[in-house]
Amino acid sequence: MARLVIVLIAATPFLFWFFWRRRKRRGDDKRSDRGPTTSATADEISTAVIGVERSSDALRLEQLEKEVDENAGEEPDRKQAAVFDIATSIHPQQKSDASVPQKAESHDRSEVSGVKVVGSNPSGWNEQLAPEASDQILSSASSQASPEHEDSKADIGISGISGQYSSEKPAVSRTATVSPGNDVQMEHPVPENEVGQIAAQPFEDELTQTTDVVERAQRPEDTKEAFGEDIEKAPARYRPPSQKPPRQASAERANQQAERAALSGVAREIRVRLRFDRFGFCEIRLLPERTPDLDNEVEVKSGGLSLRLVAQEDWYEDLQLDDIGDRLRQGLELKGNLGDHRRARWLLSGRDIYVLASHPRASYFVSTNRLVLGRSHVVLCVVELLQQVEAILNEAGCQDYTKLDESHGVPSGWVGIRGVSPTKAIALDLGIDQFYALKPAPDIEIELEGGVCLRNSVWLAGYPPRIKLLGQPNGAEKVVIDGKQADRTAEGFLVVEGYNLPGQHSIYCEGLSCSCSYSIEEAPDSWQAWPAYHFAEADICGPLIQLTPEGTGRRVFSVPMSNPLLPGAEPGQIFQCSSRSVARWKGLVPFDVVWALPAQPLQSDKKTARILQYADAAVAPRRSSRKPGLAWVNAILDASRKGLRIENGSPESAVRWSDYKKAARSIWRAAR
Amino acid sequence: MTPNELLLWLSARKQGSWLQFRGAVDTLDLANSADEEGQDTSLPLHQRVRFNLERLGHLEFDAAECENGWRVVPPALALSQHDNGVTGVLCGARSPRLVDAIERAADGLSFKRVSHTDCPEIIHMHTREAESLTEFAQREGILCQLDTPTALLSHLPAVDAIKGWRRQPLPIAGKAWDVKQFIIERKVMKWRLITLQEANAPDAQGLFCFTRFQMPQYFMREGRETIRLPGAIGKYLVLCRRKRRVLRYDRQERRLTLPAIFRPPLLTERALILCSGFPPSFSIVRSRPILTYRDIPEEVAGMTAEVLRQDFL
Repeated sequence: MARLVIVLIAATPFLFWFFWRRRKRRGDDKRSDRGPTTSATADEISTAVIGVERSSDALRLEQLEKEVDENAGEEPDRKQAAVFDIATSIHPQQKSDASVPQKAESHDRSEVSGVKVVGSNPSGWNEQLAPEASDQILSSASSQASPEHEDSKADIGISGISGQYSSEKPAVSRTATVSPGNDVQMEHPVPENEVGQIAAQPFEDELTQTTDVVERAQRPEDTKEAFGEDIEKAPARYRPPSQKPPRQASAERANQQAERAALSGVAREIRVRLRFDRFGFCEIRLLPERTPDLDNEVEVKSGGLSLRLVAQEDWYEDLQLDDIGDRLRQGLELKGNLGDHRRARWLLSGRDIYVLASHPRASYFVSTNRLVLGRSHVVLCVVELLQQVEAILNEAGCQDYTKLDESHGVPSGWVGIRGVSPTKAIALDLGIDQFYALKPAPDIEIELEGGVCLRNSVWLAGYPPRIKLLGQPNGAEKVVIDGKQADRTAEGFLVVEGYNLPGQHSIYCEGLSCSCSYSIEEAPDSWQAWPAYHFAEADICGPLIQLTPEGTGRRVFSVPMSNPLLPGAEPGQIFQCSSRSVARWKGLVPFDVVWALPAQPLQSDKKTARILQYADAAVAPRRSSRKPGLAWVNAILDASRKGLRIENGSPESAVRWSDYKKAARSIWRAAR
Repeated sequence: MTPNELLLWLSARKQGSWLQFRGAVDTLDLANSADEEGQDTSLPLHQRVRFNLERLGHLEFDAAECENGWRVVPPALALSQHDNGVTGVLCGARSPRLVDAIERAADGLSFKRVSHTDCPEIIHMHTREAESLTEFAQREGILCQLDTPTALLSHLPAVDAIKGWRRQPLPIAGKAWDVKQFIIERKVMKWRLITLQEANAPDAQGLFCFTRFQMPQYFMREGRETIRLPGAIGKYLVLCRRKRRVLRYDRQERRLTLPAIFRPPLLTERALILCSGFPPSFSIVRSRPILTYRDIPEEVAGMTAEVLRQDFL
């Protein structure tokens, strides 16, 4: 009997877990079956929001949630209930705010149907919740706003609340919806593709297993299997960000993730880059991402395709593929091995719609997550979706855009839309919104563009950034730069006096969680020359020539090619200019030239040939004890024997020439 | 960034790696750049910009003390003697303050800022006498090089001075090699694809280019000796051995033209470019790409021919 009791006691947790799992799976199955019915609810949900101010309650919430998270080993139901209770107890006012009309939907780059968190501004947060869902998700929303795991740009989504969160069943849904795995999801800064998105999310909660099965195939952690595969298969297609509940990343989880990442290698994304030439013809290339930890050159493969990635600073050199249209649609996965034996892969998830915009670290148009209000974009979409895409763009207030087809360089089966500049935010559908990329969020965002950015947020003096407010401003925003209210220029840029002067500058929007800072530095005013190229007689650096000790005795000399024989003042000093097809010779001569004689004085034409005098220098005594060669002697004596005249000769030059003849003759006699 | 701003950026950074340069070029906004006509666009943008910066004496790439990277040359006025006076070209580093100061100080001089494709603005001055430009440089605290083309050319060894080049055997194995041999047959001068085995055949002679991962290496095989040398020097060495002439000098127009495949070695070309301050223009004549260097004094053309072991056509 005692044994039976022991067995029963031991089995109780397993039984409990088994029944809980079973109930949960059923619940999931029901939800997935019910998917299409959610839109009506979603519409209702998105009609109103409540604002949540950051308060001491919020901080308390974070603290309490931390405590709850520390008890993560407890039964999931207990944990969920605890979280819910905390949330409801400390935010009583939020319920009453549920009827507040929608003002702004989310913070920078956070956009998910229903719930948005506005930024990480220390001055406060704005959260907006769909009224029906607000009660259920308060705890999660609040926890996302906590700086520990909010990552300053975290988004909150409620993709999973569909149907279950309708006001008809609040009590039932409440218990279910607060479960951290299924319903209320935290959306991390939206990456370009699924890889980044999934990589950013902790993943160990059993509750999330069902919903994450599909995504697991795309997770970088799973690249361990993928790397081993030789079979070519298309990379997983892109899915707009699925919305997940917030989960606090414990240190243990972070370690597990790091271990997984170390085991599985490196996963990076591939962006799409579009360049217009001056005729408006476009060229589409793929831009693999690079981080400093990656090799400068990596050999990669994708099926039968073998490529070499050559590094730039933030990217690898862009790839030009012949079948770019298919690659855009189906995606591309490049795999390779790094020098330190880590495996690496780059992934472009195939999709039907791409949004491209300017990028701070790359030229032309680079693929991005989503349209941003007030920014100019290019949209690429498959031909089949053009009608729907245009409808959404029109809804977003895009006007005067132009369509590009194959004749403009757009790949077959695709249409390009240039000049897409949305002016109105569009709420997302609940669940996965196929047109997520085309629906701009109303987020207010400070953008620093232009100028000469030396590094990170440091600009060069004289070339400051232009400050712009993107998003859907309501006109009441007060932008403060360096403590002074900013004025708008005619072009819409924000300025204050001194914003462009060297030093540190800060910008923030009063009342909004939106701020940034930058600094301006003076350029250096001194540079050093160095021997970039070293030759026997000189070092060269740019246009600068620094003579070495061996080259200091030489000087540039120019002479007509008719007189290439150059005697100096010292017997033995003679230089023969090289033969050139030009009228004048110019080059280095190792001594001061006194005379210039024809190359063969005896064979020259006496009528035309002349002796040129360049210096009035007397014959110098020989410095070398060696016997001089006879070239100097012969040149002078030959010119003398031929009876050549001195060009523009004066009596003084005739005397000088006579001295040289005497010296040459005496040397010649001595040599006999 | 425009190429002008790129030079400011590079000057502010003073020196860096090749990757940093590639990254910076990648942010170049060339939408408003000058017409691409007359430019050799066969090279990728980063290479065009790199070569222009290098040829104009703004930066040195992969030279001593900046191996595998770049370093900015101090600001300097490169003077060039012409029949009608002296031309000064601003080379090296720039800062907004320096450019403003030079522009203000050059009030009495003939001063021009000229845009050019894929390179920073060419800042160009002209006076009758070199003294006024040297004084100007001294006043502004920038270096000055007298008669730059001549000074450069007179210190360069001729292309057939191969003693200094490294003896190195040809690569004999490896999959990713793209091997070419430089051939001259009558009027045809081109690279011909060959195999690794053909290049290593005992009787194979001449200039070979082995490219792997976009990195070309040039080898000259003469007799039993194989040396590794820069491609441009190798081509002129082949021309020298074959006694073929490719340079053409127009005394009236003071223009030096040559086939684009025979672009001169870096420092020789720098000397030619600093005569005017402008990179060569690119044109197609009888289906052949041609480079034309302008404002080349006859003496400089002669020196260039001598360094390249050429005679004019």
